[in-house]
Amino acid sequence: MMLLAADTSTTQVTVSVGDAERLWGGMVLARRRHHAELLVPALDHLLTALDIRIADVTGVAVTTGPGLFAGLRVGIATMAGVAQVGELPMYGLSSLEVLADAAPVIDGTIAATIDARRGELYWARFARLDGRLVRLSADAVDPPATVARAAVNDVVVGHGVDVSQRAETGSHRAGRQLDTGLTPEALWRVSVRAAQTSSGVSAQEIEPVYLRKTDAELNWERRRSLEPT
Amino acid sequence: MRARHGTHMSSSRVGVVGDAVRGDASSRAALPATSLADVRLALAQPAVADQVAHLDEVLHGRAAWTSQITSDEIRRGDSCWFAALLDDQLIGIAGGRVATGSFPRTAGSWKLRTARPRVYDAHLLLLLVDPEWAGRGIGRRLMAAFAQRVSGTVGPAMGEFVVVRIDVPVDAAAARGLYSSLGAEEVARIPDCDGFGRPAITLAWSLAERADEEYGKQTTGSDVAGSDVAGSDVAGSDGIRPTWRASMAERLVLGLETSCDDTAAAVLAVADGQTRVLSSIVSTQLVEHERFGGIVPELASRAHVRLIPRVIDEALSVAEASLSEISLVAATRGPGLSGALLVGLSAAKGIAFAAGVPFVAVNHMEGHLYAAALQADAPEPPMMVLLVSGGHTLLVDMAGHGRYEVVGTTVDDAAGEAFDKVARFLGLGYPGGPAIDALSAQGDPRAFQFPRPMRASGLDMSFSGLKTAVVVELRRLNDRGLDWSNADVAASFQAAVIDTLVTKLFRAADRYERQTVALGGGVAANEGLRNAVTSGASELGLRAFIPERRLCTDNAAMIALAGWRTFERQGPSPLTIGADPNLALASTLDGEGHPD
Repeated sequence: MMLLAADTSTTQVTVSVGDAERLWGGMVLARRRHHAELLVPALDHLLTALDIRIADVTGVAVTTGPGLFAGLRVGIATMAGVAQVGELPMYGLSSLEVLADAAPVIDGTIAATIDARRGELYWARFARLDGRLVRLSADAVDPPATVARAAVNDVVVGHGVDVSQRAETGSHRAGRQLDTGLTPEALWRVSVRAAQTSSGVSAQEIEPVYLRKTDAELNWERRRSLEPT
Repeated sequence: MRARHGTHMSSSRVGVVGDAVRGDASSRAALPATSLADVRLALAQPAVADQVAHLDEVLHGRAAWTSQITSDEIRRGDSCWFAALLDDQLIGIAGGRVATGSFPRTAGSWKLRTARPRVYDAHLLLLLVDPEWAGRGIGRRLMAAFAQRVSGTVGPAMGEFVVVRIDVPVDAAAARGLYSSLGAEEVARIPDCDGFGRPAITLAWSLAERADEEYGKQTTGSDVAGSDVAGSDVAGSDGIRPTWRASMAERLVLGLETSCDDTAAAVLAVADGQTRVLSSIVSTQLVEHERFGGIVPELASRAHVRLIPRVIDEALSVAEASLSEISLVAATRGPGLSGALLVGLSAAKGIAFAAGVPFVAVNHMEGHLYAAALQADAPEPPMMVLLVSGGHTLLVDMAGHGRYEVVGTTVDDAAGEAFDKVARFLGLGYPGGPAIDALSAQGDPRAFQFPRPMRASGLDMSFSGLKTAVVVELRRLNDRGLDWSNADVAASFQAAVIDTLVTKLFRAADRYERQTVALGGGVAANEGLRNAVTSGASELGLRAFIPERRLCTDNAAMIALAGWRTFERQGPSPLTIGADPNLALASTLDGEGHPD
């Protein structure tokens, strides 16, 4: 097994490559909004530096969301292209799971958050039990106050997302907040788990997980619901 | 044979190339029921090693190429292996190494081309074909694939130079004769080519030098792989015989276009400067946007990312090609919708990276300029091109490939926009161009005298006033309680637009002394405009080139062609290039550096 993985769900680009036993290498490039410019050069550099041939890669993993729409599409379109060339299976990963896996928590509960703009957060809760990461809630999009209430005993992780301020409650205990992002190690671990527990999908089948309709669709539905029937 | 788990394999033990195939007449007579067309060539994966060992054993009674040695060899960074597969069954294999430099594995390493040697020394280590399939051109195809891969994607046109070496056992006389007839020359003798003391001769030839003449002439000879025993009497035994010339010179370009609401992919074949569209798939998103009364950028992007792998698959399938046969990937980087552009650009980079071929970013408008050049009798610059679409009305002087000057444009609405607005006013629906064009055929173009702003002089145009004039005229008639014919309005309006466009086009051709004019863009599908340009050009003694209708609107074939031309001129684009929603045509004018 040799998995090539990429994440472009936040403002950074994360790539990793590794087999079932170990992470061979990875990198994070944090130049905001330059996913399309950075991703392939990063993959190329990674494989070249490690002397891994593209033919050695047995599967392609990519975070399908939630996260920045444009970023997700860059990651998915790019990795689908890679998968199409080698007819490789693709593994869609949750960006929140990778984020939670990267949290420096030995034992306890974790709330992973990604800025969803418009005053909302993408979030999901996880627990680290005996070293294993266990999901406690599905990926969702909600106002910070909702997250703060649910994550009152959790360590909250995510880049530049201040739940306590946004919640404006002042009393909750979601103060244990760590400004951390996705890491190559976590990306590799989650991709290996995905490859070991599923057979993957084809490049034609993989799709972003937006969790949110487009404004045009929302407005259209709103208008239609107001129209007399 | 000593079983070696060799990270290093000396060339002296792999001299089985010449006598690789023992296809005799009887086995050839009993041809497999499956068709040769079902055989596909692909980059060999280590997983085929077992089958290679088996094939070697069948052919030679011993597997010098054990499974372990074969898979190690395939995994090497400097090796290149092609398998001929029928479903998953291996029926042929060819592979070897590059002794100088390395294979252009990724598009990124490809950027270093200028620094690497221009002469490649490739060593073909193994060529085996299943005896049941001997004499049917498979060995030749494998060798062609190997050679093409070795020569990278630049090839003779860019002055690349490849020397391929093969070690042929001295006693494999027929094979030696054949290789010699292909222009190979003896360059060395090897006392022991297989570890059993079998002497061999090293033959070598330059692919770049001979690709055009020698191989073209020699292809009437026998099939390389099937000739060892039977000699060269197998000529013509198979219908499909890609010649060296074709395999060496023909390159496939994959084009992707996602600048607006069409997801498009195309495969273009380029050989000897001639191009041929093998497939052009356009998936329109009309349904997605219909209920919103216009294009919703986020919806378009969502549809693109869902559709692009399927559209690419479809384009390849129609072209009967695989991604491993693609030599260049081209994609639109602008102008267009930012999120939409990113999808095609990303897919193209991912494919180029994984396939180890160069990537080139294309200006969408440059694509439209090349639409007329997609037909068999393609025009060559210099020429004057009129680009008319819903978003653009440009007169472009094309002095040469990559040398454009916008010499005239609209000062307000695009011509296509005027069509849409008038069609909406007449209640003809969207898009308006085709509706007005169809209705015009039944109307009198002289029924109304609509204005032709700015027609008298200059090369710039204006369509906003014309649209207003139509509205004002119909309101006036309506106020007086008079009736009118929509067909007459459509015909008169269209006549005014076409009159302006054609006048400006021929004026520009005259001013810049161009003997050739061409059309491009969605409005170029308009029957009236096509006729006016054709007849006007013939009166003036100019040559007019008008793209097929389906190539006027957004498509990826034109992107593939513009990409190829860009690549020929200035090489690949950097993989760090991003989308540019406002990319101007002028930014690719210099023909020097990259659009960056």
